[in-house]
Amino acid sequence: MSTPIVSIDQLSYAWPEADQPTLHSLDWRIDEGAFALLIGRSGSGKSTLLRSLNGLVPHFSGGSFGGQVVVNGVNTRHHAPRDFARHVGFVFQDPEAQLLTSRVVDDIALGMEQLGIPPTIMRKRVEEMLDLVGAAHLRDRSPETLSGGERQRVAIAAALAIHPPILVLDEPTSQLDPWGAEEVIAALQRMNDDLGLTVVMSEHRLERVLSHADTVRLLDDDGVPTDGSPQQIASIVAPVALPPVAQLARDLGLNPVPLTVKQARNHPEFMALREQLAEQSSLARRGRSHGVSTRVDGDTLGDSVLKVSQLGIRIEKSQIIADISFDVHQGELVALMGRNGSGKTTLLRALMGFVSPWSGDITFPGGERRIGYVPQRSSTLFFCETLGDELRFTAKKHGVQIDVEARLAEVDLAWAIDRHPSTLSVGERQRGAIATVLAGNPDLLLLDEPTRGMDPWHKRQLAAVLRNLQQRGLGIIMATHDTELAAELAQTVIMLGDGGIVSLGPPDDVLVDSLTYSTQINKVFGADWLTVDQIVQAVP
Amino acid sequence: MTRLDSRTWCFWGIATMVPMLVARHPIVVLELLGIVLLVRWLCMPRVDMRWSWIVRIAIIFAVIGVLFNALTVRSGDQVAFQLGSWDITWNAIAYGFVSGIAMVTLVLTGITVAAALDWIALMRVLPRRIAPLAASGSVAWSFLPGASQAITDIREAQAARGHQLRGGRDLLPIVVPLLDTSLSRALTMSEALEVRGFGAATPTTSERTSRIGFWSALCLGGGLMLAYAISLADMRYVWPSAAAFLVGLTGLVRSPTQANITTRYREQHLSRQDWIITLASILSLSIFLVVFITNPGGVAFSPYPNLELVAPDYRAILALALLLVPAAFPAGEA
Repeated sequence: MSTPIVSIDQLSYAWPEADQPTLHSLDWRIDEGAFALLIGRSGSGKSTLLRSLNGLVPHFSGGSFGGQVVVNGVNTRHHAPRDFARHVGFVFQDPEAQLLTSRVVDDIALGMEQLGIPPTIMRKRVEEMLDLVGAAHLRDRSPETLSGGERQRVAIAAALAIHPPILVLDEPTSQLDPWGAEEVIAALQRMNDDLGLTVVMSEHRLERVLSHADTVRLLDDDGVPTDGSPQQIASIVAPVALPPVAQLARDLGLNPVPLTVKQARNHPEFMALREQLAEQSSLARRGRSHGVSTRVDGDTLGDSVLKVSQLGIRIEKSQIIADISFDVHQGELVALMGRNGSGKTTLLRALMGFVSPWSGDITFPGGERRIGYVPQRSSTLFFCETLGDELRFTAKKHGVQIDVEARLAEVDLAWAIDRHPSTLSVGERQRGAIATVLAGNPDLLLLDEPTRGMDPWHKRQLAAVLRNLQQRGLGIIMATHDTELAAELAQTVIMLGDGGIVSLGPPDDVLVDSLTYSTQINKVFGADWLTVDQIVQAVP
Repeated sequence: MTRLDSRTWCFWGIATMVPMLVARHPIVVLELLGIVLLVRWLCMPRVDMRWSWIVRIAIIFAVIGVLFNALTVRSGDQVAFQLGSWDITWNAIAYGFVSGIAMVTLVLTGITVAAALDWIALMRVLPRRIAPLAASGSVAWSFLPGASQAITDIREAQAARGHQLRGGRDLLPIVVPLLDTSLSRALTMSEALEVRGFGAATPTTSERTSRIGFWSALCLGGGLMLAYAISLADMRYVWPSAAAFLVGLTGLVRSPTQANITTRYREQHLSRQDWIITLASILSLSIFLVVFITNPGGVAFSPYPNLELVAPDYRAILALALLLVPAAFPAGEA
């Protein structure tokens, strides 16, 4: 049996001025070389627990701390986080705020410089780290020019250059697109397998990481832990938190629960189900589809609220978007998809009037531009003392009268009318931001990556809110990397790439048979099956 | 492709700005303006020259210089016209015009040097003894692009809510989210520094702290006294306060700091071109200052009371021509 490299005994912690402790009398042992995964809802204490592993909690955060945390034989109570740099590498959630210099190699070397490591050794390690995370080609680039996935890999290299035996990562892929997330997880798996590095990470996107973990700790809403293998945890955690194939197995009461697409494909009961659904699809194909949908019916859509024709956009002489045309109708949700840099945000900004079209037209058949816009970082919207005041401010600016409580009830936040927006969780803040812009009574709502950093429970609530808004007749354009959400809600998917539209149509056409854009369910069941709910409804 | 070292550009900038600050001879001013434009054009092809912008600011500065001087100075033998009881003289107009062009040249020099500098690289070549300051300075600098993007994002997000920026009171919806995002970003950056071991090597003893406190106080006190003495032009206090300032500064630099045990990944060395430009700049400035001290009239412009232009000192003109050396190494060759 391996020696524990992390020993936590009776750890309790309360943030400064908090009424309740976030962590209560926690114990945890992590063996050397393990890949440990920490899961749970936002606010369950995952980040706090991870920050206690290198003393950021409590040395940096303050608050009241009880129990002890011993990492690699060193007690966090007696040493500052800076002293733990040799023992614990730490990677934060936000890829934009943790690279600290103007060149990738300088960033990787920064920690070693601080610890007085001789230049000859530094140079060797910098090269090793660049190779390890597959970033040798980025060595002289400025962090500003890197994608999110590249930044996170450089952050990992910077953390590991000091040669700590443990790497701790706090939701490292939550801000990344699917390709960036794949890169990061693949790099972590390689380091854990080949170097024996102990990896401790928290994560919401379990479909990529659950099968790699040796041990999983689930924290419930009160911070109470449950430990187990990935299989054990997959059979007890709320299905919504699981990858779609595992969620389907749980919903259908199947055992064992598959954790990956490959496991699902080889699962005897899934194989039988696939044959049954293939038959159903083939019978229904004459009617174009199997007819099972959880989306708002496309036939009930109203008048057009936006017409984009032959739109071209240039920024600083670069063509970002060329020759794009599409319409949005009342009650329709259009999902804008495509890799980072494909022009999704630029298109939304052009619809708002922040970027002037180079060519083509944007017209509003209703007469005037009445658009609500929720940017990627909803914190850029809030400045009032309460969420209710935020809604009142928008309504006043648009000269409309609203029932603030009723508007907040639409997004399931009536209880938060007197709460300061910064005290809300990521998911609640996002719904609060939607309510805030809807207070101006727009015809069209633009959402830029609304599920970024959001846990699956809040994502489910957001999906319900968006479905209600569609039924109320609101047109919605949502830029997203979330294939599952697009499959669940969108009537139209626009795939952007190479400066234009690569594919446009209903999800049943655009999101099938694709390596990167298909849902897990489609990868297992093929045809135009896309979501867990479709399968559950189709099964007798 | 490599670029000239930031230290080289600093030397060139100083050697260009000092003559502009102390001399107003029109030939000197025009020579320096030509040098700055040529160096900017040849050494920074990727920087948009924006000639229309340069002409516009030149006109604005010249007009302001002329108006200010013409309306505040009544001396001069060449009266252009009378404004009420005021004599508006050609002498004042000419001096104002030359001052305006000198200001434009100063601004252009500043933005040329700023565009050429790699600020973070510059901070990293600060002496080892102030390595913590250099590291935190480079981190602070890397904070700026993010802050600038945050301002744009916030302005757009608020504009989408119908907010318009019309006065000071309308700043609240911009400033509060900006503070919020900046603080949260700063917090993450400081945590990132901490977990990378920043300051881990610093011996924090009370003796060291008190020593640094003493030298800092001496340096600061001496500096303040020096500034005060210079403002009074009282030489009795200039030398003692300058000595106190220098002793304090030396003590501060020599105090044991983290730099004793930190290391550097990459030493930055000056290339042959860097050395040539640096030496040319130092030589140019030295010759110019010698001329300025020995023959101030050769680089000055005194249109009062008589509007006349004396020939400039040719040694100064030749010395300033050395500032053209960077143009011999256009971008990509250094």
